[in-house]
Amino acid sequence: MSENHFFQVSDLSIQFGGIKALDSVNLQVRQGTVHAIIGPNGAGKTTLFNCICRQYKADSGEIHFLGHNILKLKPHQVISKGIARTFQNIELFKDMSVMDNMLLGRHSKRTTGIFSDIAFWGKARRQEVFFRRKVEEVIDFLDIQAYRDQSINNVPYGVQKNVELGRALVMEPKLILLDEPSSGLNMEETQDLAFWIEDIKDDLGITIILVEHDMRLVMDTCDSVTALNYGSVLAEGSPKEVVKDPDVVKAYLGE
Amino acid sequence: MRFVKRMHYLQDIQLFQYTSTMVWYALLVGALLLVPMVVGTYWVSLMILIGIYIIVALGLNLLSGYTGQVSLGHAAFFAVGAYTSAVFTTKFGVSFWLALPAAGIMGALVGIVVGLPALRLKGLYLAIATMGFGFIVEEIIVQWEHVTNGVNGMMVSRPSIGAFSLESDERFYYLVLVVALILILAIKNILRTPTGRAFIAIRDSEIAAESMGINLAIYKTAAFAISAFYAGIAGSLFAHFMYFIGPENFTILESISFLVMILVGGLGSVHGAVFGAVFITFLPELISTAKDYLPRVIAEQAGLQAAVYGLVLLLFIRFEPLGLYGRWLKIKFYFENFPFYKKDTFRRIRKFHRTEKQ
Repeated sequence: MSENHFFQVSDLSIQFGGIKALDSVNLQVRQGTVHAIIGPNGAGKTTLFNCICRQYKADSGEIHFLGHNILKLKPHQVISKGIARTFQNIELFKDMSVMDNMLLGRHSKRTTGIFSDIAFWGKARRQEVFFRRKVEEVIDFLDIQAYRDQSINNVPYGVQKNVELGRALVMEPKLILLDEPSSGLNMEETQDLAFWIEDIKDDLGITIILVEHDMRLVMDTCDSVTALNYGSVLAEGSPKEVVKDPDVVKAYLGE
Repeated sequence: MRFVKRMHYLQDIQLFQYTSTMVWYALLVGALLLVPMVVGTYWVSLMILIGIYIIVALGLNLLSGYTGQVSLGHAAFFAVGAYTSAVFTTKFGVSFWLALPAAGIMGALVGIVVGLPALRLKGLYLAIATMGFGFIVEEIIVQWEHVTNGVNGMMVSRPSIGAFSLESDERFYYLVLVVALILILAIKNILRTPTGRAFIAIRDSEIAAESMGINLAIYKTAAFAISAFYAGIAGSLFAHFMYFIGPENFTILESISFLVMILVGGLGSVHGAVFGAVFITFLPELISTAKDYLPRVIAEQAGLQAAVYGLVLLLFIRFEPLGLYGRWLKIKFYFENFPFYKKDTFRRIRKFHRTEKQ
């Protein structure tokens, strides 16, 4: 398998009523890179993520990840192929503790069934220990020990964002989709995020696709950028090329 | 205040967080073992009923409190268990010890059948669908006369272990106690492993649960099955406890009283199911005692009990949404942090940044 085929979206289209939310979008992401998707509001960035995670059914086109045809999977099977995601407006389990939220990230790795869970002996017990060790590692990585036992309801917004990132990391995916990871974060938290993105890429070897509005974060962390507008690709390339692209400038600033 | 030093990964999910907790629970179980020797038969039979209702409430709480699927038809699963056990023991001569698990399994099977169409329903619609299911089962019991004896009901006998008969309430009490303890332990285990977390995840956010790799169809059906299993087991115990069952034992009112149990006790907590079952079983006793002291105009009203149920439910939803268990937690917190208790400690913070459900 060539490196080019790590993750590939080809001719993806989806329509809601008369609106073409995505219009034959093409996207390639190389393994071990950070790829940004930018674009004005309503450009179809989150729709693209929802198509990848099978929340929306794409009308036509194909998505291939490591040789798997993603569009043939059910929503809950996407993660088992190694694609994790975070949500634009935090989708955490709000009545559970930070720890339990992150433990849910391990769900796709579980090997026990309901009956061995009821017995909670032997394999189920060992699995639980292993899961908890993995979660503690990620808690350590993201520096959220202080909030470990608190309920999501009582945790500040910035920490919730980190927990969501952590929950995706606990899955040990090969590809993470981050939907506006820096929205609502202050300068300091955004800087932390930039470091983590580097660490995730370099130390954990996870490929990242992120939707982002903060151009500084994009310039600092991303290897390549795709600009979307009205559901179609405007420009593609390195961050420096894309921000100078006349079409992109026009889409953001008008004529 | 107590500080926990975590030395092991499973420390957070131990059944007993502190040694003192374990001692208290051991004392409680000891006290429960002594109950039949201390109190009269009437109280023992009340305790048996409480035990049976605890089992139903545990199951219903798993479904409604943890998985977020409201069921207004739980008396139907209860009935399926009761009639399965009754029919197996009286018509086929099967031993009670086989009929008891069979009642649970039959309940679970019916639960799966109900759970499958319920996958597409949410909230109010699910409540109405399960209520409809409750009516159907009630009607089947009445109409299917050559199996269930229709409105005449069925006579059921108490089980025995070899020559050792569980005929007396005192002995039956121990059976219910053992079954309830096993089922409490089972539900505790479910809740501290991936299965239970998946259930709670479905309640909190289906879209996020799905992206965690949780198969909604399987887990929702499983929640129905486990919940109905509990109701089935309880139904079997109920049948053998009452000697006689008829369709009037399994009406919509029974379903509602199960729901009131978990709402009053505390949605989404094992303690809540227990507290709720105790409270709701004692409530009629309280009402009949209180009748002597009430003015005659009120005491002789026909719907007094239903009205009190409604009032209790309203007051709990308004003032203590976490139920008796929530109140228990607050009292515990008050004493553990003695001078530092603030009213706002348990106040829920309103937040407005959740996504629209897709």
